[in-house]
Amino acid sequence: MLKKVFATLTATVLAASMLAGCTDNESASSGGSSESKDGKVTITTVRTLKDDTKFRDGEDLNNNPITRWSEKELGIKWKTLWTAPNDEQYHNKIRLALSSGQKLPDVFKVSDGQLINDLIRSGKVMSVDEAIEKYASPRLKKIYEQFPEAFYPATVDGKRYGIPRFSGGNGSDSLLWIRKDWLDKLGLQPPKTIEDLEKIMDAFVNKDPDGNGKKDTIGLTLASKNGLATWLADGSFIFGAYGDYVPGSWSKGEDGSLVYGSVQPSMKKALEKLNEWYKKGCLDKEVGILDEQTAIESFVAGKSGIISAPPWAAGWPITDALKNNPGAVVEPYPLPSGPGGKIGRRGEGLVTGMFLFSKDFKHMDKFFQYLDEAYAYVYNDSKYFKYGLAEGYDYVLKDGKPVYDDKQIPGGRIDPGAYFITEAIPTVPYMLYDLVEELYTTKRQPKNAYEYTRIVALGESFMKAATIVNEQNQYRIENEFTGPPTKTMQKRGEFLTKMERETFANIIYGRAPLSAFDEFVKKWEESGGKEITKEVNEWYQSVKKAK
Amino acid sequence: MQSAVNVKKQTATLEVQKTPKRRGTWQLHAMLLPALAIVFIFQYIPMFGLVMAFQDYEPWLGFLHSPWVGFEHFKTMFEYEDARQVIWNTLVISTLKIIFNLGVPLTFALLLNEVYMMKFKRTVQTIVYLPHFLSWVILGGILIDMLSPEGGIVNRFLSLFGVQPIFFLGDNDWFRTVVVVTDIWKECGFNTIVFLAALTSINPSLYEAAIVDGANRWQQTIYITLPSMLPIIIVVGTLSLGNILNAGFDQILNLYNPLVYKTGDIIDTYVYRVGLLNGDFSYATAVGLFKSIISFILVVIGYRLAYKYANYKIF
Repeated sequence: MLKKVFATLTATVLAASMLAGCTDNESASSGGSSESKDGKVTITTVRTLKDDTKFRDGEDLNNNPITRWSEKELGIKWKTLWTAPNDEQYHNKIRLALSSGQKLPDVFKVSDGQLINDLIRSGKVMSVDEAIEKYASPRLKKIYEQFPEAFYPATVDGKRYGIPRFSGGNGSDSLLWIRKDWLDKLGLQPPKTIEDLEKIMDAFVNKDPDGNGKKDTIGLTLASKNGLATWLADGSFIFGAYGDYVPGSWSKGEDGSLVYGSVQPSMKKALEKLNEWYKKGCLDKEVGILDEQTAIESFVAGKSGIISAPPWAAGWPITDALKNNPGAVVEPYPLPSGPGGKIGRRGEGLVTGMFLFSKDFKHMDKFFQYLDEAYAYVYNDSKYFKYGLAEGYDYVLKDGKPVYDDKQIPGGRIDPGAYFITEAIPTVPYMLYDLVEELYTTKRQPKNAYEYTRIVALGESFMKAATIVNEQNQYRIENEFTGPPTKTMQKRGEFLTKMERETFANIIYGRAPLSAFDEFVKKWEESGGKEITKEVNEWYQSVKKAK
Repeated sequence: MQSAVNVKKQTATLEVQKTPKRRGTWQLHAMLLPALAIVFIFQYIPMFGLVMAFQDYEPWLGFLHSPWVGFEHFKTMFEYEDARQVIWNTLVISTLKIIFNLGVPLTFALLLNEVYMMKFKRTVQTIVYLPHFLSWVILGGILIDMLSPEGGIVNRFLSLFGVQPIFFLGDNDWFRTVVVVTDIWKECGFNTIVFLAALTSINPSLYEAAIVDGANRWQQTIYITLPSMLPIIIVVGTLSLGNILNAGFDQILNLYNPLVYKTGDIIDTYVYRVGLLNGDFSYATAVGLFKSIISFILVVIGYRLAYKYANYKIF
């Protein structure tokens, strides 16, 4: 909520500065890349810097173990021109720089699809096709060939303009977290199918699992205010159990073209179920007005027995639930299957944004060298980061052996990965959870700082959950439309989303009959949905053609 | 005729008297300059941005080079039912707010005025004014808890009287009521203070005369207090007219949800979603501009009425 309010504030400022957009002065406030006499290259960048990023005394983004390493070993001096505390403000600042004709930094990340497109069409960023061919290491090329879709957000007219910042791939995919102590108390087995799940929920509602003598518990915690397929208290698995589509996503239809999930006939069955569950008291009475943050309250308070959330939920909010309810045991379980044996879940996208490059940037070779070295650490064959990223930060040497325990590192552990321009230790989709699965199933000890800090330090519960998510990878339903909003989306998207959320909420609450869904589909098509589908597929064809 | 001449003479002499006084006040006027500069830079210059409403605005072209589309966006606005719906919602919510934000504080001020225990009066005044300092972001969270159909304090209280739990924030029939009531709860303290101040300025001899004539408390209120308060009531009402299309962005944004879009979505939240979340800057500007024009017309009408009926004039 705070974010939104902030966004409006910045929007006002933005509007005020639109005037500046007409002056086309190439103000030189942001210095370009240059080569100094000693052969070192200075590269300018900008980035978000979250408030909780830690630095050792006296260090900052321009002076830390990673920048020192990069300058000494690779001859790259990084100059961070400015930072913003969150993506919204960051994007607004970039947008401002664009509309006021300022010079863009050499390298910068953008995760807003519209802004990426605006930047490309403004002609101020460089196409990267040639640079990848010439400078990308075999390792990087292989990853890029493996995930060609990752380039789609920054592909225009068959040319690629950005280098993807990969996500964990399945890092934020969800699974079920269930109160194991409730299951045990009521003598129930974990659910295999939606039917099992219904029986469990029924018991959770009616058999007083918390033993307080009151009928005050619910079965499933859901967030529906911002759509039913979301990052926490996710309801997408219910839709996935009845068809190949989840709400709000564009997936491949039967003929191979992209279709919009929310208007597919399989939605109906899931909505009917949700309505049934609501009537039986399995869901929060207020489910229609709960967003992700408010929805989890019922689970944290010990009023709800099941929540669908990603593996990282083991840290938050599951720990909060354990703290609040002494004796509570929360265990991760695979998603249940629907009547036809179907399972499906909302899949996180491949990328969290793109790196773009000013068209005046001359040192793509250096950029790729740096990126490759960062990836070398992930693949554990770096000649620079043998035990970890920096001694005294994420490990210490004791008798010539690395120690990763927080308590043994003076001043506590700090993750220098956050200092990379990738803003974290880089990832390759699916790689992390593959590694988790290996560590968890073989009980192998962590070999390096990466394995220790990114996996083992997060705990048993996380490892188990990530393993389960990884085992259900074939059920991912990803949003395949990663381009900027289309023309009709800009005009009508707002209305269509509003109509969708309104209709779904009313059906769940039983305020509208199930047939309201058919009316919604018809109206959706008539009020712009048809055009949007056409535009989305035009986009899809155009990016697929690109190399 | 004669009187007009007299008036002119009088003002003329007044001016003559005043002129020497004005000399040497330029320093004081100069102090106004920074304020004027700020208003010009931050209020007037950004107004050029309004041309976006008549263009297909592209950020990297700026509005000097974006293509013109004339009234296209305004046409779109009235073509679709969602825009008409939000305009209607905005009007209903803000009209209700204006009416109750005059009525409630006025009644409250009159009642409080009858209290003679100074300490009690002051305390009540402060308590009523206090919610004004909380932001809607905070209140939104508190209200969702308070109005919850399950265990929310309001519904628990109602259940004492055998009322079935009401889903205040998720019910189209209740949402507007909630918006208006919570807004009054938050903001009525300010107007109460304005009205209390006006009450103290009524000449006590009027009441003394009324008492001599045998008027009781009720009659005193009807025949003396209310007529004396009329100008300030009109002024407060006029000022709120300008806000008729501001139904409260912060408040609605923090309270509304898909279940109540039908009655709760207002122009500002709509513009926010279209412009910022969907990136259709031009259309959002067009809707915003439409809103400003209507507000401007209402303010002008308001001032005319205020001058006519209460002899209140700003310029």
